[in-house]
Amino acid sequence: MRSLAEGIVYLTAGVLAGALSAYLVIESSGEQPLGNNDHWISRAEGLAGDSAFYVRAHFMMQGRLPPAPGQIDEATTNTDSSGQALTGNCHYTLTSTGAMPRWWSLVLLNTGTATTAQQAIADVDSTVREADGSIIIRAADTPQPGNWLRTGALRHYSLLYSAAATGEQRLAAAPPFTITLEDCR
Amino acid sequence: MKVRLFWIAAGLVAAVAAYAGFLLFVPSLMFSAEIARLSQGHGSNTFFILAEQDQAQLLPGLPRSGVTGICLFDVSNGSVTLSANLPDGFWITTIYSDKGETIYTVNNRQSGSNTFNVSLSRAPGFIEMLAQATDKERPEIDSGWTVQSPESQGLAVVWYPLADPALREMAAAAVARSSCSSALAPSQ
Repeated sequence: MRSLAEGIVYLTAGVLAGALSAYLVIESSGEQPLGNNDHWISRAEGLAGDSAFYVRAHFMMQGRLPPAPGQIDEATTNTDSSGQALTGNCHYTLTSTGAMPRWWSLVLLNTGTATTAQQAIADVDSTVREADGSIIIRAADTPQPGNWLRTGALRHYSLLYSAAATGEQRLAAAPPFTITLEDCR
Repeated sequence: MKVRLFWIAAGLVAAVAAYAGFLLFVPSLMFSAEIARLSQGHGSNTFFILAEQDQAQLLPGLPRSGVTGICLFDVSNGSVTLSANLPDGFWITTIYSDKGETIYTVNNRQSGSNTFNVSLSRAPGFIEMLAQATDKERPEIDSGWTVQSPESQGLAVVWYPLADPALREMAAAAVARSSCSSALAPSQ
């Protein structure tokens, strides 16, 4: 009887360890930092490489489609450029000075819930460029001058950048935005 | 001691089985459940426009203001034709297998036309390929593009971004001119 109980413990531990390790492999596969801006992570290369099976599984577990390779590139971050977690309690300035693709969008996702429901969005059509061609977006929970990405009262959130992969402004060569912490409540 | 070794070995086997089972089935099940929810009331081989919140779930990186049309295709009973009839401007059409694998994608510049047909069929197995290699009488498909899916089911997705959210209803009506139809007549 004792042996049977011990066996059940071993089997249960084996099943849990197997499932957990599969989950961790799925979540970590194919992640690559973009250029020197290592707080932006992309799975675009992983989708086309040896780890494509795991990367696809990552998207499918979220109930969503992976971006079409060669059409849309994606990158995500849940920290600012200094590595601190993005939070709705703080104001940030997002700046892009490089060339931008013909279509791009920046979506704020709530990471505090089970589903990554789409929150606020800024994109190529809704943002105004500065006189020097750069793009400045202010992420905050209160209205801001210029381009405003409303964070609401989210405890933590992540940013999802999507861009048309056509043309020369490929995502891997041009990390989208630097994120500077301005102040916190 | 032998009993303990046996259970440790059994635990390792269970871990490997759970690892493989999780990888093979959990993502597919979760994705299938989401697709089934999205296509509720539409069925397979029918083209329809996604509601904004469904679009945000399926393609969270794309603005809700854009228009996304999908067709859940099933080629197990014969080929299915996606007839795209899209407005001018930037759009992307992508065909996924039900394992989330991209099997075909084209945008407006690559297509060169806003109106085109994609014929979807099941990719032949090894035996069928051998048979086809010796089948000199096999007719050629003479129009549109053909895509062979490794799975019998999949998803064709048309995405059309909009500069102005106020145009969504009009653009949705234009994208909805596209259709998805099975080669077989629907059974009565």
